[in-house]
Amino acid sequence: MSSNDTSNADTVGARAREIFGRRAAYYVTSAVHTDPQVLARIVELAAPEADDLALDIGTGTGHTALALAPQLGAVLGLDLTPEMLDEAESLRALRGADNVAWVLADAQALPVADASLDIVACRRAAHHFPDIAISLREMRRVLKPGGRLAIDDRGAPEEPDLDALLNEIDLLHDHSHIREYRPSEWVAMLEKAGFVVDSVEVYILNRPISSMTEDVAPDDVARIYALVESMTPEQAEALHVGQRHGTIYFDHHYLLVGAHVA
Amino acid sequence: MLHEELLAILVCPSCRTKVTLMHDRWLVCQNEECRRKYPIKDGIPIMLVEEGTKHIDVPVEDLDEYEP
Repeated sequence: MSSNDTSNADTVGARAREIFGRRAAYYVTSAVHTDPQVLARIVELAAPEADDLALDIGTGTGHTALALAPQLGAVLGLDLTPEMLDEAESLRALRGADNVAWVLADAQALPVADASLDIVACRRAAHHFPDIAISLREMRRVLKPGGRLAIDDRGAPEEPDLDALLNEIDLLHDHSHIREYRPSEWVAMLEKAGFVVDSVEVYILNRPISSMTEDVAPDDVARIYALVESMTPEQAEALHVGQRHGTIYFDHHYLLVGAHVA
Repeated sequence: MLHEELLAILVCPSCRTKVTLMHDRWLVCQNEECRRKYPIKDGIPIMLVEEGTKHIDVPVEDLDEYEP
């Protein structure tokens, strides 16, 4: 964080504290909140068996694919960004994971045969998909009957105003984001794509505003601060806006979804 | 290198026909109407429809010599 960010955060943070008159405590609704815990939970939801074949969509640097690898037959990690897959390959080689391969492809046109997989995983990627309905139909298409889907993604609260606020902040943070969906939207979208939804687990992380403003254009940083500052007391309370360590913290919503093909 | 079981489930993202590995660096769609060819770069297949389309007119017999 630059010194400018810090002073700006202090000013807005002090104002936020003055307005809301409270200091939010660290807040988590789920035991799952660190990256290793999320990865472990995805593996649980995927329920891998010895000979299973899995596809990890939006694999990035390959962490989910490599977490699944020791427990099943083989994993294909798919991403649209060559640089990510180069990193993934370095990590794969380091771990000696011989049953993992990578493919550069589009989540809306999977290069995988119908009903050929036991598991599809997708971690922190779905909010980037231009048309989530197409991607979910593709996931459904490539899974065998009984195949499992394990999703982790940024989410949104069910309240429309909080949903709009967090999505607006996150779009300013990263213009490649399309939308972070509410838990109820996930259920509806998955059912429409032909899945049976088994579980939806919301987890909330109270994170510093710097997680939204690092490497972001100054105009967008200013808009993010303006949005946080413009929250009503009710919204600020719902999102646990507060100041710690000299900066503003507020809630980010995430969810883990488990589903299967009947 | 591509795992055998994974190679077996790969299809052309355009027409979903099976692809065949050629010269260890091409995945060729087996659909005569499609003819898309996907290069493997540094061990990673590039299976984007637009990538496959670029090489449609390259004859399969010339692939060995062809550098995209």
